[in-house]
Amino acid sequence: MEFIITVGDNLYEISELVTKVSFTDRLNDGCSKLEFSFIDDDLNIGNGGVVRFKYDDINIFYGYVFKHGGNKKKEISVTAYDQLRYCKAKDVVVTKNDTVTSLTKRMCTYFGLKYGVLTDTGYILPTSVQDNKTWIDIIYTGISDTLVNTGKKFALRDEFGAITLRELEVLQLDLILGDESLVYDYNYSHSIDEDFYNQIKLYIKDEKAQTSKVIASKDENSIKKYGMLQYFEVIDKDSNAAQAKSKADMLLSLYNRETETLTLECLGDTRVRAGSSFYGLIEDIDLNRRLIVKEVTHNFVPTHTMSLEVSI
Amino acid sequence: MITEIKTIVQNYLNNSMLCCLMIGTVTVDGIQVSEKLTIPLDLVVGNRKASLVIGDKVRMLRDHGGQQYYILEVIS
Repeated sequence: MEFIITVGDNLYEISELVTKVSFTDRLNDGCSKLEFSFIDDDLNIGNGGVVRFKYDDINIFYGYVFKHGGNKKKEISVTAYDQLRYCKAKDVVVTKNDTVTSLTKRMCTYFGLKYGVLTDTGYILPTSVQDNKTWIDIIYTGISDTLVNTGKKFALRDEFGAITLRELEVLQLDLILGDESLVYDYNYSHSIDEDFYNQIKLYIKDEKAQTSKVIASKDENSIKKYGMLQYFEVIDKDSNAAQAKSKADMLLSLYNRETETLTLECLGDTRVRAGSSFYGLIEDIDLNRRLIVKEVTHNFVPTHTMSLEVSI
Repeated sequence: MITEIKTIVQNYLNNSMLCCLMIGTVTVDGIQVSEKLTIPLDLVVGNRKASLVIGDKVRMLRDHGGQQYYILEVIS
């Protein structure tokens, strides 16, 4: 373990002093967070200081102190965030001929943040004016627009001090978690309560021709099984019937499946971050496929464990 | 509690971008309404759009959601 903090102009290695280290990362939901406590008398950690944490020689976290406090027992607890924390600032942004990639680059340049691999998403976002919105929300909106229109999902995250944009496809790990591998407890649920639709209706409003049209796409078997759950959306942009039909099909394939949530308590693996996927193998619940990590919390002291929330 | 509710309502209203009147100047890139914000012409509608000349000062109506702007009149 290597744990370095900067206080003033000096670097301190405090891996011997820490009593708790926990790293939380969520998929496209704000910055990652490192919370830690240590016991010391005269180390005056300050906000804005750099925190660098490696475990087993693997880079885990590089970020900045945003909160710190202590108690009578000289135990100091600190919360640090990565660079994405700075992207919570509001601004006026006009998107025109922009992709999520170019927007991310613009954001990093604007805030003076370091960036690494920014994968080209290849989807040009519709022209729009984003007034008084946070940068990070603008990017997330772009990511979900890209998902709806191309079926490709991207993750925005900070990897040890460099903001990256990666397609989830490339974040697959050769890791199995399940009955005989690392997992010591789990919880699961299946639901059609949220984000489940088996009939998609898109309503096209064409202002110029003053006509309107309904495009539908549905799954009969699913309707027989669950009852009809309809999704409805008005599109008043200049899209034609063919585009709307392909969008409807895309939405149907996206929404026509039960949402399953699963939380796993496992022994730690440093490669796992939000957005990574692994192979899940639990016989009791018929689980035998690849899963994407929605949220992960790693606890490093005294032993490395992690709790994962996955969506399927 | 009251303060939080006020903040939430305030943020919600700001975010939903209600209808409002705006004054802007026509430039090459679009219609400039403030130092930071120039509205692309793709989002501008109304039958006066075709006759706009660079430098015109216009009054526009912003549609709810802020993704469409209707030109009401050319002021000067």
